[in-house]
Amino acid sequence: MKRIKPSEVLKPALILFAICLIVTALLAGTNLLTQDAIAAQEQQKQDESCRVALPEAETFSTMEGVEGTSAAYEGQNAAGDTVGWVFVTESKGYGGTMRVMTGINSEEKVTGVVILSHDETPGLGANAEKDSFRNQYQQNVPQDGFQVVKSEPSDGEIQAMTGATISSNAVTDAVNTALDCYRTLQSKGGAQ
Amino acid sequence: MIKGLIAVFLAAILTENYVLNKFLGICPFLGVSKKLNTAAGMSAAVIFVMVLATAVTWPIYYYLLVPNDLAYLQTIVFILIIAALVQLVETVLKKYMPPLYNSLGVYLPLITTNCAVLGVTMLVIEKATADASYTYVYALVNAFGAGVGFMVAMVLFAGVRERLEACDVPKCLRGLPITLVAASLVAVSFLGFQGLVDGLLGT
Amino acid sequence: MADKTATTQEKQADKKQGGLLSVFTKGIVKENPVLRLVLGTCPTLAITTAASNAIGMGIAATLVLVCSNAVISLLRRVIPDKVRIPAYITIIAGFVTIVQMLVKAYAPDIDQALGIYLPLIVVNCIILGRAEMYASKNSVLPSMLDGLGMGIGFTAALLLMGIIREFLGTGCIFGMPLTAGIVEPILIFILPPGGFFVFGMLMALANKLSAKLSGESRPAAGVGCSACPMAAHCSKQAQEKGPSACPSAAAPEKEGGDKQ
Repeated sequence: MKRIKPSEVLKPALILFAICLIVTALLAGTNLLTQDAIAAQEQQKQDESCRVALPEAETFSTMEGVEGTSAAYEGQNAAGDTVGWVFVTESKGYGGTMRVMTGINSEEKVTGVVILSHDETPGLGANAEKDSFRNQYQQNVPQDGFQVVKSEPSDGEIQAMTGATISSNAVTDAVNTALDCYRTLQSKGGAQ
Repeated sequence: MIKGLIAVFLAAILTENYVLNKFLGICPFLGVSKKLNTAAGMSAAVIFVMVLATAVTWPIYYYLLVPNDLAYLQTIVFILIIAALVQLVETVLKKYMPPLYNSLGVYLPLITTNCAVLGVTMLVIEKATADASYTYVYALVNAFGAGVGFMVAMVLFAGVRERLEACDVPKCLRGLPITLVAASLVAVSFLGFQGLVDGLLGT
Repeated sequence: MADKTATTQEKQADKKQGGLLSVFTKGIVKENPVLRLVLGTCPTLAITTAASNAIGMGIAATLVLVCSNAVISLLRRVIPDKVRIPAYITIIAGFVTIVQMLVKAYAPDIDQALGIYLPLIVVNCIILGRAEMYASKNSVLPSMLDGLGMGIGFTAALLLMGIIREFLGTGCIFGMPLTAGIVEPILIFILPPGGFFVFGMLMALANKLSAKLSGESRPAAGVGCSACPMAAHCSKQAQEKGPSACPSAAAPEKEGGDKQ
């Protein structure tokens, strides 16, 4: 094998290092410029989802340490009174984890269900995002949680999406977890 | 725990198959799947690099990038780690394990630009961000499963293509088009696995 | 030796250029990266479930392609041959991350729709392939035009796939329902198998058309990333020359075997 001179190794290494350094500096600059915008976007998106789940509330404040949820918010109306809560819960769907946001108002009524992220089959399980399915949950909180049925639903029942029973169950599971959290919160005396 | 790991492993092979479901690593899937032995050799190299890359990128992301607020460097750091790792593995194999190098060596440089490898290191981190119980062990098992899934798809498809050679195909469909149609049919069969893992383990 | 070949190739390329316009337009039809060169198949199959995704992906990739081609062309005499691949990857990854941050900040819906495939532009063979095959041998302006042409060709192919799959799979185009209530959409077209199928059919069509136009039947480049700089493995030549052997030398041999 040919002997390698130190300069032959050093020069490419230094150039490569310089390129890395410049690129990293550029990235740091871009990050500085965009991070506020990214954070604002995320905040805005979260607020929008919260507003769909709990339309009565104007502002939302994060609640810490609500067991069983990945995030929970307390919703206040313009006067500053607590009008309801929003819970983000997870469940296992057909394709992967499903994150669902459930809004419950202080009159024990589910005000809205938003699918935050899912991995369901497009056209089948992904139909869970459609209003026609999600709006079924907008009713009084049932005693034993929602049940999924395949026929015409009565109170406390949710009609499964055609060809996507597992996805329907997953959303319902997530909503029922949120209901449990709501009850725990109520038994502790509502909003602290 | 064990059940969870098995579920992750099986899901990575069957329901989340990187090639047929997530479309990662299509280039080698179409390019190297012509013969069974090259398909197997390439997949073995991919499994090896996938597990190794995940084993290295995960701690770097969680113990170096995140604490220093450098998570935005993820893409560039990961691809460079993978490139360096592949080079390192190649050199080590060449020097100390010539037989293994002879069988896998040719495929190694290719793997740097195999999106399945970069994909798996990023996807496990995405999964871990969404689910706190998803630990390092899960990530490694997931990476291994993804590699095995790649192998399963490659080997199955190599078989299909060997049969395809003998068929009389319309002129304009010859070559790549008919291969893609065949891949489509293999993907249909993998669709059937959806939901299977959960049903199997009752989770 | 490498330097010498680089300069001769450069001269040839300059001679062959025949106007910047052809540099720009060849990527759109004649050397369409997706349908003719068969590069960047992963995003082509993965994100074309809706036409809007295709446009987002196409624009992001075009941006990266133009910028990386420009920078690599500028640095083509600075970057030592030995470390050129890592250097290219670093530059490309840098631009991809910048584009990713911009998309996250100003077009979060696209970020949501593209998910992991946005950072994966890094390993898109089109970009590294053009860096290696064009930008490293040509001056800045042609390189940028080449990048733009290839990017538009990529976007056009993605858009075509996206429209076909979205229309057949959901009955919509750009989210606008067209056949709702008249025909039940064929769901499988937006599922993974549909992606392979539509891509195969489009490629067959492209072969047919180009055969008609040129009078000879020359199918698209070999299978997979044969034009990708890392794909030298496919031929036996690669084993002799070492893994970084020139892919353009390796590819034709492989194609030859392919057609028979």
